[in-house]
Amino acid sequence: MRLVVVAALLTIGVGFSLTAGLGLIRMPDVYTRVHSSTLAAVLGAVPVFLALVVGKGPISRYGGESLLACILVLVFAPLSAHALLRATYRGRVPLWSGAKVDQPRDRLRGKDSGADAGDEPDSGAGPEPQARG
Amino acid sequence: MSQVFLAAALAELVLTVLPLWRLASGPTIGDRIVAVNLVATQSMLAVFLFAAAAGRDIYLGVALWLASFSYLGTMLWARYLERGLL
Amino acid sequence: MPVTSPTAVPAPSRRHGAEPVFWAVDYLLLALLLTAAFLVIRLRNLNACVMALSALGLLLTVVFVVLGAPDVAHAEVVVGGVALPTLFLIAIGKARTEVAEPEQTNLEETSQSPARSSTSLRTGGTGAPDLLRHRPHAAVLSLLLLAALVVAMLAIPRGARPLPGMARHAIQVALPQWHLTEVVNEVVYGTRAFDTFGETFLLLAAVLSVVVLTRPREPRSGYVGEDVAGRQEQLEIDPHLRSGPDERQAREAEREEEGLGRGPLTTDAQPFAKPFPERGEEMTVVVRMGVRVVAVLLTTAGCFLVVQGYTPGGGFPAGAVLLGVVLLIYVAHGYHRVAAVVRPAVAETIELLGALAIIVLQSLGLLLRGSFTANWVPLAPARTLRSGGIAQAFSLGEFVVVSSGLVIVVFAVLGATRDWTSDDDSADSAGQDRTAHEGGDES
Repeated sequence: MRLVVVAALLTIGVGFSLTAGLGLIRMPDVYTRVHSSTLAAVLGAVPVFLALVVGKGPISRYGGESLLACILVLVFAPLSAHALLRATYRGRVPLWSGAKVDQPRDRLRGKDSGADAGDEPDSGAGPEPQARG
Repeated sequence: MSQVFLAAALAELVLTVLPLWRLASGPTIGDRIVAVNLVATQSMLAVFLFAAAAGRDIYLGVALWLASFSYLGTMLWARYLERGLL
Repeated sequence: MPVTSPTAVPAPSRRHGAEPVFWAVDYLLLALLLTAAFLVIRLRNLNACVMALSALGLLLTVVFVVLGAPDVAHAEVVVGGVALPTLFLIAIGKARTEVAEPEQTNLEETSQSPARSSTSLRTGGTGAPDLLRHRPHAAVLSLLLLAALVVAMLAIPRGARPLPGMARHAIQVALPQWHLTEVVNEVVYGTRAFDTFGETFLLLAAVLSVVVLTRPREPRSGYVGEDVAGRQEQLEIDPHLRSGPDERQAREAEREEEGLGRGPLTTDAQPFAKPFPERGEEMTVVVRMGVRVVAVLLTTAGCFLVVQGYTPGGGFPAGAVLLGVVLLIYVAHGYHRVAAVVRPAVAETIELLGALAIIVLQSLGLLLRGSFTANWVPLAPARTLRSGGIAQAFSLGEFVVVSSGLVIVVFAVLGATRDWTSDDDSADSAGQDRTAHEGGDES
């Protein structure tokens, strides 16, 4: 029984890790790549930690270190992705050519000139282009 | 149980090929940084699973530092990119 | 890294060697390692090379774990993960302002707006296809290296082989004589303490040389930002330097171009889409908040590394971990948050006090027990915080020396300014020649 749970959790974790790698390969620009790989990497790490807790017992060194690593990954991954993407965006790395919305730049442009930001398609979501091919 | 953990560790290590490819070909610097970060995350998971498979809990500390230092490295890069200097 | 070489003693018993599936991990890691090493030498972009190097370090860490040497893995992860990329980044950042960048836009279409950021984000990454265009002699060399690595991999001692004599001696001695269950710590801080002693002072000499090389002419109280403070002081001494508002504004803009300006303290208030390089010293509130949480956890775990003598770790990795925490706070909050501790007077004093403590500790063995590095502290029971006698104290001293030494090195290099003016005026042109030469080398 425990083996089945562990195997299932590990399958989920490895599956999400695979998603992260594929997203890194297939996505069209750096923003979508960071988005897909960071989210999926966290989603791939947490089931693995859960599997360790289930397989080795929560009151063990595996359980404790899994908890610590889980906290670290959950705090650090969004943090570093945020910092990295902020730096990338400010360095004017262009968005994917199919991107529809560039919220920060539209907002800036609207504040400065107010001319061509009239019909801002503010859907609340950032640019979310699909993978090509 | 040990074989399951080992198989998962192997799978994670195989998956590091994908970020390594992105590291080689990534057009912008951000791509490479996030690729290294993903290599680190998957290496951390591999070390965790390997420790469970080999039954040696003293390997776990290494995995912890592996992940956290890789994220620290990412933030260093981000600061460097934003400011031009570290 | 000289300090870690004693840990290269093979760790005891690779228990999993008998199981057949483990070899798959070995060979897979070997292939990944070769790929990463290939990337390091073949990528044309400096930043990309540094990143490939850190990926290589990460994979090497996994290799060390798989080979059953978590101590070496600890040292590798802190060296390859923190110290090496940081120093490379600082070096690239310092060199770039002098060196004309080669044409950097290969793969990306040319940007419609000239990014004023001095950092070129579009790396001239030579893609994967270019990697296959290697010269024949390089291919032969690579194949030879591959063959050597395969042979070395096959010759790795499996669990069934008998351990070498040194390892057996360490295992026999560790628990009865030192009350240490971690054999590598016993070797490093107990049996071969004299080697570690020498390496500690080798590290001290290296730190000293870095300090001497990066020292400015005037005495300083901090590592970073001294020139800005100095300029303000100059203004107070020489009020006639202070000019009208338009000229001050022009100077501010000029300094901003040069990357020297003093912006707002935090980055939160600035419009996100402005493309110029960031001026604020602190990063965004997201980063600061997260770092506040994580730094506590990492500091605790680092202290765990140094005080627990029966787990892999010890002074050297823990010292590097402390460097990591200091760097983390520096990255998120800027220099002013760590300036109270990270300044030459404090850090160098701590470093020298640590070295003095190690000397006293080992010399007391000579006085009390008749031989240098002999254990004179009464042994506590095994698997407690105090087990190991003198080894634990030595590890603690090593922690102080290594952490302060690494902090000094990183921040001294970080705060190093280019001062090419020579002492006598006649050699001035020689200095300029040197800069030109360095520019040629870099590109």
